[in-house]
Amino acid sequence: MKAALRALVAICSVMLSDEAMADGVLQVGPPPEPTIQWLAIVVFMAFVSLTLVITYVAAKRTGTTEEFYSAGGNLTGFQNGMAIAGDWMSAATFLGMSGLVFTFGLDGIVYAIGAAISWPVIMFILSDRVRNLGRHTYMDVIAFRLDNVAIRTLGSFSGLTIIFLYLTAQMVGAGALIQILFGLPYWVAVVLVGVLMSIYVSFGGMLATSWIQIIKAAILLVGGTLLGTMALSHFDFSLDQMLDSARAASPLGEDVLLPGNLLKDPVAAISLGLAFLFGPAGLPHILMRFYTVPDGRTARQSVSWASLFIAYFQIVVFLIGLAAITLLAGQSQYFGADGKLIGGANMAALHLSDLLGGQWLLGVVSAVTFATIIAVVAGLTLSAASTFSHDIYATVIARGRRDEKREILISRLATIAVGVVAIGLGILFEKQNVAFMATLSLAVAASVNFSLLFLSLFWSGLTTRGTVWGGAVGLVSSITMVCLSAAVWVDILGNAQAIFPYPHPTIFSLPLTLLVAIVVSMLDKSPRAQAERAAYRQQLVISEMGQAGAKTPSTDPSNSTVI
Amino acid sequence: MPDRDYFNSEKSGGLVVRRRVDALLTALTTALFLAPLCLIIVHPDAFSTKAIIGWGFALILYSVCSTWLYQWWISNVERRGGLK
Repeated sequence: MKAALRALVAICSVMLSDEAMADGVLQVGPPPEPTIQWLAIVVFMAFVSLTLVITYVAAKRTGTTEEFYSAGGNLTGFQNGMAIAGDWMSAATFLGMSGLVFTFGLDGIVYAIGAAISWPVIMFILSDRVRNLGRHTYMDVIAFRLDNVAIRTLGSFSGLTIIFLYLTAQMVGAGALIQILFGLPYWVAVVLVGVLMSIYVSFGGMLATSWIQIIKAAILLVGGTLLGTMALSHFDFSLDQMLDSARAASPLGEDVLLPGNLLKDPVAAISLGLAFLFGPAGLPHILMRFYTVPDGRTARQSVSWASLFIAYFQIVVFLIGLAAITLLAGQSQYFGADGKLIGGANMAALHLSDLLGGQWLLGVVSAVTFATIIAVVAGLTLSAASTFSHDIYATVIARGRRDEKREILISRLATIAVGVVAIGLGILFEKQNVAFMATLSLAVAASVNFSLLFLSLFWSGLTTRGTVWGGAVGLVSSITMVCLSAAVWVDILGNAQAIFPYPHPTIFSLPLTLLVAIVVSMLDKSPRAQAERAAYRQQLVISEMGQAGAKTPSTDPSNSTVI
Repeated sequence: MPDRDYFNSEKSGGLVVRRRVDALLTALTTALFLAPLCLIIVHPDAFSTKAIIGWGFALILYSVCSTWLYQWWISNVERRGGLK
């Protein structure tokens, strides 16, 4: 049991693909020999069986690009809200954030807020406008009145960078978790995950992916609620009692519930905050969800439902982390000889489930964790495949000479290719600390995708030239700053001191992108630029009011100028 | 092509107002998150544990309530303008 728990934690420590792990501060224990968790296997196989049935049914209904990319655009607000929540709530949200609170105490509340606070911003600025202007991907929006080829080429670089960063971290974690559950070699486990996600996406497209996300979100919410309720019952559901107990039990003493254990620098905190606020609004696999509903109004409903589920889950996970401080204290079976939690702090929720519910609860929570990973990688894979087929092939290569059947074939082939690449990356990065990828993906999403979306929607002066220059500068600067930060320059490359002194680049890279895009656009006096500025009015009307009489707006990928 | 008057009129449901509200709410959301965060980091002794947790939970609650209220409001705007 202890060996399995060690392995689970070590694995989960690399599933840190979202904001909760952006600092990469949690400790990873050495992966022990695999031990089979039979109950977890049973629950997990039930989940896989159900999802394969869904994929089979969805495959029969997926014959057009509308169905493959957007599930026909017929999801309800509630369904899509659950799917968005499923896409957002990764294993790192559950295990990583609770581990963060367990280790650093009160500062974990910032990550809880961070996961929830972007949704109002998405609602106010993006959701229905993105839906009204686009068809399959967020690049439909930016390229609406700008040059399609240039914009989609740039967008593909940034979008695929984000997706592969996320995907690698998930694959590493998922492979290791499967290794423990089934006793398989790591590389076999990674291949298994890659094959599963490829099947879901290539056959079932967005319809299968959406329903898998919905089911996963439901079981994650139920699992988290169960664990949280059992934990809180030990404190008579009293926050005061929980806080007093944590102070007494934590090695940090009173300091565990004082700020400053994790976030010490206001510049770093603002940078992290900006990544939280605007990063999710630039994630390709999240934005893609807005095209699965029939209109802008339903897109807004989706955001409302998603914010409700995510907010609830964040509070539950925060309380689980707080409860773990007390309940795990003194339980020597979960601590190593060095006094640290076996396998690292990410293990807190799993240890807690074992403590409160024995092997059955541990098995259920483990299976829920793995289901979460599978669902997230499926969503990321679909987003990557759509970038290849819709943005690169249909627009850049085919220049709008669309053949629907060929495009779907390209999508399916791209899915398999993404699966192969993801497997390769998962094997390559097995021993690496991949937590920095979380920082980088949110930073790129906020700095490049969100910035350019924002400018294209709200500023008539944006031109193709400004977009390309701004996006390129944002992409290069954010990647460079993270590579020069401690997470990569010191921790991975072994240098003595970081060149870039902050863990998060967003406070610098986001304004830089905006500045370059604005200045270059203003200096652009070309005839194309004049036409692009003149076309803003039409874009404004459609973004605000939708395309009259159209359920799914038409965005001709061959359109390079808009009158 | 609708002109500026159209966007101010009842037909559009006052969409110009909506864009201004959007900007205001986005700025408000950003300030509600970043300003207290900076204060807490710069003056950690000035805030009790319960106050910080209360701020956190209130902000999470705000994220939910704001999306639902905003959706209700904009739906009414669209309905008045005959856009639904």
